Amino acid sequence: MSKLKTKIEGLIYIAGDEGITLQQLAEVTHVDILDVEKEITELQSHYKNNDSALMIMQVQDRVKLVTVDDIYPTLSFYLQLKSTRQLSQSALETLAIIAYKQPVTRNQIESIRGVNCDLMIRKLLSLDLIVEAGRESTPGRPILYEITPDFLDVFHLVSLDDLPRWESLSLSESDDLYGG
Amino acid sequence: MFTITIEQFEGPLDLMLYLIKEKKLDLFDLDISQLITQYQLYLEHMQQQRFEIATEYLSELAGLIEYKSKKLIPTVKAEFDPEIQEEPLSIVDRLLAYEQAKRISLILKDRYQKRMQHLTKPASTLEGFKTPIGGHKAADLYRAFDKVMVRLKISQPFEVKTTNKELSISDRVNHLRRQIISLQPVFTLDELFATTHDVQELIVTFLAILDMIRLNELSFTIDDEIVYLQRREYEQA
Repeated sequence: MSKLKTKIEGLIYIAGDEGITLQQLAEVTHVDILDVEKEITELQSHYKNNDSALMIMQVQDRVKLVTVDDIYPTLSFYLQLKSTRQLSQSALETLAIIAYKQPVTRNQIESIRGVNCDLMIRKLLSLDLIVEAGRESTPGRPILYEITPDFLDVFHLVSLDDLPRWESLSLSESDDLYGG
Repeated sequence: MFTITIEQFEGPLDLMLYLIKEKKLDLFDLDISQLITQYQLYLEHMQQQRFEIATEYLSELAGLIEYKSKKLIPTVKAEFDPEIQEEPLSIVDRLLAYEQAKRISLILKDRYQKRMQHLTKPASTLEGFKTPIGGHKAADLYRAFDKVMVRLKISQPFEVKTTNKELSISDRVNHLRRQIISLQPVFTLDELFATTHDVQELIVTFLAILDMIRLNELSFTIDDEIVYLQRREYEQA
């Protein structure tokens, strides 16, 4: 292992769940950001090829070390984790609309969902999954909402490009939405 | 006749989409009368089963009927109408959009469940390298309290308000005495704070706990940043 790789691995390790940006890694190690990216790619394949318990997860330009999912049953048994916190169906639908239509007003979300979303929006704001992004310049100047880096993290997305395009999703073909 | 109850739907559009699939209606060439009939039948059935029907369902029914009647009336298109307004989305467009949102929500759900299986650790700080001197220090309690504050911040909905409050520690001690009877003989600090919703209450509760420790009504041990409290009476019993 080159020294740079070791330094980077150490920095990612101590950054823990906060993660560390590629920019920060480059500054601390006095190298170019491209070199950092190269080392991280190598680290990722190193972890993968050695059956490591750890992997590097990237969200936007931020990386963090996490455990691999195969060992989750063992880890959760040890930690006595009760069932993981779930996001409700209405939370997921609201997030889906915001992620694809952002920046978006409450009214626009409600016209797609057909139900009042006031409480849900407040809940998502408090979970830091969405954030206010200014106001629309229409009468009433409604608040616009968009998703946060935390959103990308909880759905393990490097960026929104990781989601399929809205148009490309098959329309009305499969009936799996209601379980067959 | 209908096996799915209204509570299983996320809203009127969800119900319509379900009926369209169930009755094999064509979403792109939608027979509105059919949809209205099925929709009404379903709502009536639910009412007979004494389910509460949210107003949103009824307002969408009204919307469907309005949409249908507008289609029946021939419209004369003005060459130029300065008051022309942007057409609101048709019910078909809304159903298509909702169906997309629902499809994406399933993708998100799947990704969320997978992501939750990756665990991580808190960031390392210099604090961890301090040498502990003797037993538990005030700093241990401070850290535990700090943790509770973070949790409070996460769980609290976004809201700003200013209020005046007077809380007395002795009142809180009395309240806690009553509260801890219902708890296990040994309980954690977090459990006690679980029902606390604002900062003032949290501080007073914390001071009250310290006071009770001073009065020997409670004893505490700290293990890995978790504070365990124990009732004194139980020890004697």
